[in-house]
Amino acid sequence: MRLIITILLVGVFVCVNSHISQAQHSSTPPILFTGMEGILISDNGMEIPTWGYGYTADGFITVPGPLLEYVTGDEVNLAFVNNSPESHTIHLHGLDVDQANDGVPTTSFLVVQGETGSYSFTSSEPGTFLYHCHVTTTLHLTMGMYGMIIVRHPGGVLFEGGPSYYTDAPLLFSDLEIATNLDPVQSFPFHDIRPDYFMVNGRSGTQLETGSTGIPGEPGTIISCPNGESIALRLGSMAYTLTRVIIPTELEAMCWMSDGRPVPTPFAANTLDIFPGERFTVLISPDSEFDGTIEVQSWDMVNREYIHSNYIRVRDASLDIDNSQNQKPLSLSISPNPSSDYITVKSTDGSYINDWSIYNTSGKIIINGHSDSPSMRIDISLLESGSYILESRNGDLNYRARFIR
Amino acid sequence: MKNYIHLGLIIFSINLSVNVSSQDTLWINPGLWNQSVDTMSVLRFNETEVYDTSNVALSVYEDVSWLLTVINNDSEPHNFEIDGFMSFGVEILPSDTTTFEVPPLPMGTYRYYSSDQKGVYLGLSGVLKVGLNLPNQFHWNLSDCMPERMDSISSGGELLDDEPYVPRYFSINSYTFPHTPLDVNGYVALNLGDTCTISIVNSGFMDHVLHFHGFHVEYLSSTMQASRVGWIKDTIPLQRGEGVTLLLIVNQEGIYPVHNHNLIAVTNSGFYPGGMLTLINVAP
Repeated sequence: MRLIITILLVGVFVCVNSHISQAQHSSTPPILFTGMEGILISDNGMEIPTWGYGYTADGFITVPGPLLEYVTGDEVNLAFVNNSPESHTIHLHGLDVDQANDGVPTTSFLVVQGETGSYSFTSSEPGTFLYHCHVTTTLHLTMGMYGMIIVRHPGGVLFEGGPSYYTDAPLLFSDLEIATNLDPVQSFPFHDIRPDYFMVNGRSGTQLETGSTGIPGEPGTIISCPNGESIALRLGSMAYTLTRVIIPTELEAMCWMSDGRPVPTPFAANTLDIFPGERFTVLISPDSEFDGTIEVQSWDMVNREYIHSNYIRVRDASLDIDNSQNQKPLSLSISPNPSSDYITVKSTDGSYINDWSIYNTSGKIIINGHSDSPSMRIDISLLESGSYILESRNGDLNYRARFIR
Repeated sequence: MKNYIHLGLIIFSINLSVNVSSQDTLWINPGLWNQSVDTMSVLRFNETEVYDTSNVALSVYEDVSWLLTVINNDSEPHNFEIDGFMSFGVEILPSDTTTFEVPPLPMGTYRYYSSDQKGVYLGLSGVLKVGLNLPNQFHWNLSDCMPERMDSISSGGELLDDEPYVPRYFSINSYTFPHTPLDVNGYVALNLGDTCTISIVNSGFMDHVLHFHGFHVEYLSSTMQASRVGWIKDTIPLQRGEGVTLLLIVNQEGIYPVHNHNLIAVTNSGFYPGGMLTLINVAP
């Protein structure tokens, strides 16, 4: 029997999957853009302002930023356009790039508003890495300016002579202090930033369970793993807290790498503490009909106190996924996206769309209407170029999805 | 920040080979530590009777017992301990001198400290290097502090159990950025291709995590995570009280930061940049 294991993850990496073919070849490297008008929809529907990186010039960003993927030995030239009002950089965390490309303003270079920077490096070592802005880092990170980098080794192995695996599951742990994000200008002093919202790939709580609630229109991703194969959990932290990952013993988790280097002796990783900036690569080998969760705990670094847990669902896809408890309806899907003329909107659980509105990035309603159908077509040809949020209300439930005109 | 980096470049453009002599006598000295808008009463282990802002690093042979003399210039008794090896403590009375034998220790980096409340809160804690032989050796004594707590302790007050700990200063060898390049024991200035050891102890009240730009380092020892010996990493967690020894081979020239990646700790009383941030400067 073919065993299919699903990990209900977040949409950010689904977003970037469409860019993988672009990113995997160093001859057509991605260009990153910064934005400072992002909105993160929290698990309870709160709109949290964010800054970050994206693939489009209109300021559309994601938290975390796009997943950057390279192959061992790639000669990379990563371009970076800063259209935002503040200066930013990209620090290639763990890639041991030279000083000129290190992304530290005073020792490398600063990319001011309207300018383009370019970072050149060789992805000489396979592994899991990170990137983030290194300008006023304490603030820019909590605002969301970070992402993950995976350098894959040819041949489907983690590293030369290392174990083979079937596919990757990037899991980037981060957090933020909501009050800081709501008012970053007044967020001084920085020494008392204490996160109160905790994320896995930009999502939290029930968003991780269903891959849906309130996040820009992307369903949870499904990772398939044939029987006997392994999934590589790419674990990295951009948090201000200690992340403790608790993996069920049935998944036979083995840690093979940390910070982009093989560990001398692979070890069972049922409980793994990940400090800010650290990365681990862990292989899991799920049994047939497995259905469980990976717990992601957040611990205060100052007082060593437990704060919060998120849960990542790992299950055999052959099981009936609708049996999961407290599952919320899936959100809207929008296609094509981006589009210049029409978009087709569908509620992915088949419920009626009812009252709907399209908001611009300033929160102003541009178009609204009503639909007694689970799908509809909207003419957006008259909208200005940019990113928009489509929101529908169905009873007590709000559905949101983001699209680009 | 830029100006201070340049200052560091000028001062340390000549490669320094840092050697900490084997020290068999320590003085416990009271003094003041000035940071930003705060002046704090502190205690330090110094190599003379003259107060210095940094605790001196001790360097001894491995697997050999040794005699240590501690002279207490403070007005209160202190208990001398070494994490994991001298948990019984040796009491040194005020204005008294005590000599005692320290048991043999395996190669590594350890925290020696005063375990009494006043010693703990006023920063009486240092780096003990055992069996390290490379000519280029550096040490980083990490600390965090809340001036209000220090004021309370130094004035004879008590700590309130429900008072939250909100550290405002984060230091390496009692230096905070942008002054860390002035620290000859912590500022890593080398020539391309050089090798060095970096001995780190966490003398603070919270866990810390240091991220190296430009380089990976190899664990040679750890008092709390011995399984990590041999790991090669760029981000090094240090639990409270932990000592680690790292091997660094500088294989590219340039200036690279090393900083705490719990980013509240790269501030001075909330101002960025500051705190636990130093530099590795590799000359061609």
